[in-house]
Amino acid sequence: MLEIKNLHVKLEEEDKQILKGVDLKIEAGKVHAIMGPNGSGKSTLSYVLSGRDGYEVTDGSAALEGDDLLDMEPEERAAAGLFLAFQYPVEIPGVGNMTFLRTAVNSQRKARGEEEMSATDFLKLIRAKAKDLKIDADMLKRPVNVGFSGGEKKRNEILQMAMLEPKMCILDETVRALMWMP
Amino acid sequence: MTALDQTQVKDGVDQETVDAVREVSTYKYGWETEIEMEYAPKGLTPDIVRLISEKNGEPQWMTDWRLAAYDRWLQKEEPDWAMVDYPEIDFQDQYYYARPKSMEVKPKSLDEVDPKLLATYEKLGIPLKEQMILAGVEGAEDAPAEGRKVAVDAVFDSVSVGTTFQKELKKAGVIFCSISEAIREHPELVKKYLGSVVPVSDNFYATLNSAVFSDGSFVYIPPGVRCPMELSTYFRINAENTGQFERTLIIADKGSYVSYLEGCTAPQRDTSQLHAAVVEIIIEEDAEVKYSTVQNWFPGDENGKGGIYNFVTKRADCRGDRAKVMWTQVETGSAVTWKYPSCILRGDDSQGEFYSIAITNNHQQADTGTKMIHLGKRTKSRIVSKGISAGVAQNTYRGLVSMHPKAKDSRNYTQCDSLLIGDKCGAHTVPYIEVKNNSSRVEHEATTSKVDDEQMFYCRQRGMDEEEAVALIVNGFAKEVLQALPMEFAMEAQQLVAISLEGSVG
Repeated sequence: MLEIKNLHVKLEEEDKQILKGVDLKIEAGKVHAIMGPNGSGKSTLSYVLSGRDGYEVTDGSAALEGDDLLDMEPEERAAAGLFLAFQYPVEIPGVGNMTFLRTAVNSQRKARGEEEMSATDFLKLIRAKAKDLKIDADMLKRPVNVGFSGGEKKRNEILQMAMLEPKMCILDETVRALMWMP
Repeated sequence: MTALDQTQVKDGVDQETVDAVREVSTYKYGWETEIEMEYAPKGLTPDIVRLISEKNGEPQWMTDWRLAAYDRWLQKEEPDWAMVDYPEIDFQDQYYYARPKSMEVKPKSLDEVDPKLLATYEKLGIPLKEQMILAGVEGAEDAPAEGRKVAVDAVFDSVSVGTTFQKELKKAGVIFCSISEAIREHPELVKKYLGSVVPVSDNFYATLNSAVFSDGSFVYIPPGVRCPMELSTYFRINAENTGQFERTLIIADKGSYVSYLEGCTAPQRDTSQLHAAVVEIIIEEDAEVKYSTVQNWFPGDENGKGGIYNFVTKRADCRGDRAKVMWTQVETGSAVTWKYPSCILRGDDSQGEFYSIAITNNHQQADTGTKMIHLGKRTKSRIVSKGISAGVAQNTYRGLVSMHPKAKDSRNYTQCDSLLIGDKCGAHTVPYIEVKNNSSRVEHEATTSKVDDEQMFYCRQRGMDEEEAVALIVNGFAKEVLQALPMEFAMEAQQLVAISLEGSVG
């Protein structure tokens, strides 16, 4: 599923090497945990895999189902099935949680050449998923993560994950730095 | 879209894709209607003023009013205090009157209108829905199209092409027609109100407009009447080198209500064009007017070539007690915008609200805001302004809140938020506050922020591309204003926000 080979990463702005040759092979259906002290590069690894700016890969590779991840834009990686649950989920004022998710779902579908999900289908799906996760309707209407409690933010990440149905999830410090695959 | 034309198309990309990209990334309304036009000679002289008046079939008093304005205009100077920069305008190198030849004999109903003109509005997506009814679709008159009806006055260059639903509105006692028709048919109302909110010599552009305005809309809502549908005017500039000077006059008599929307577009051209409008609104006791604008004049190309100079004077006068006015504007077009829709809160307990989104991209410049003049007791005003700049654009909020000595216990709340995209654009906030009594309260809040990298990455990790992400974040930023728009137009405005910011990231 995910294969990381000899990954070397430094900060783009300064001459600081963070990852020095990471090798990791993750098979479908298995949960893996990466552990290490603060500053050992756990978050960096998740950011590099998901394509955040500010890092430079100096050596090595990372592939998701054989496709080179490092060559893709962040949104292409998402459409390919990579999901990152953020350690600190970001607030987006004025944008309703539902609007955000619907845009995300349809962007990914579009990128994969699938048809957009209709408003009714989307509504049905999100209601069902929210119910499973014990998320109330009010939280779906509120702006993305704005004024959410710590727990609500994390649950919201899980809701997004459930809606986007990724192949490979990286949960950064969500349940103490757990990496797993549904 | 020149940038795209010069791009080498990669192998394997078919023409359809290229066209689709071109379609979405250009100004959607940049096409031109080929139609035979009749122009007044270039330049501005008393003879031109008389000619415009004559073409509109106006009575002598109106001609004299225009000529007096022309004399005043000669003595006035172009204002230069706004934070906008543009080459000097040669006022003698403009056409002041242009009308389609087919409009020489005024059509009596919409089905007498030149099909080319009707097709133009159809292409613009304007609900000239009555077309259907006039074409004899049985029962269409009773079936409200998509819930609510919208009556439209369509103005093409210097003339009004037609107004829909006039009969139905007449039943309710509402007068909705072009201003030239109002001057002929309802001179007593026009005489009483025209120039009573924006005096002839108010400012350079308003004075110019008073001399040469050619058409625009007129609305009168009689006492106690709630206008049965939304009214709207759609302005289209088509002719080249022609200024559009429209004049709108709205009167809401005691206890009445109306919601009014204006939209505007123009073809894509290399040369700039002048648009100087005046809108006057009179609101009597207990009446309420909502005025929404979606301004999408051609903004110029990505290098700042062409585009409309939009110099507009809009003012509402809450004459009666408890009168209410609400301005909502979405300003995405024009190369230069100079516009301050204002409220005179004369009646006791009257209220003024101003909600604005101004988006400037590429080389656009906007200097816009409002004036809240509190004269009556316990008057209230609220200003919510959202400025968004991208490219090398400059965006200025300029506002005045003035509490006069008699405006006891009045209140104002102002919120000005600016959002910057990229590092070459600018946002400026210039609030003026005058308080001349000690029982009133004025609050002002202002913020400036950048589209945050964290937010962008969060959106992209969930699958949105950069443009979708920016559009989403900006729409969230402007939400309070978008919510103030009538439902039918909120969606359109949201899409417009996204389109206006295309190419602003990456």
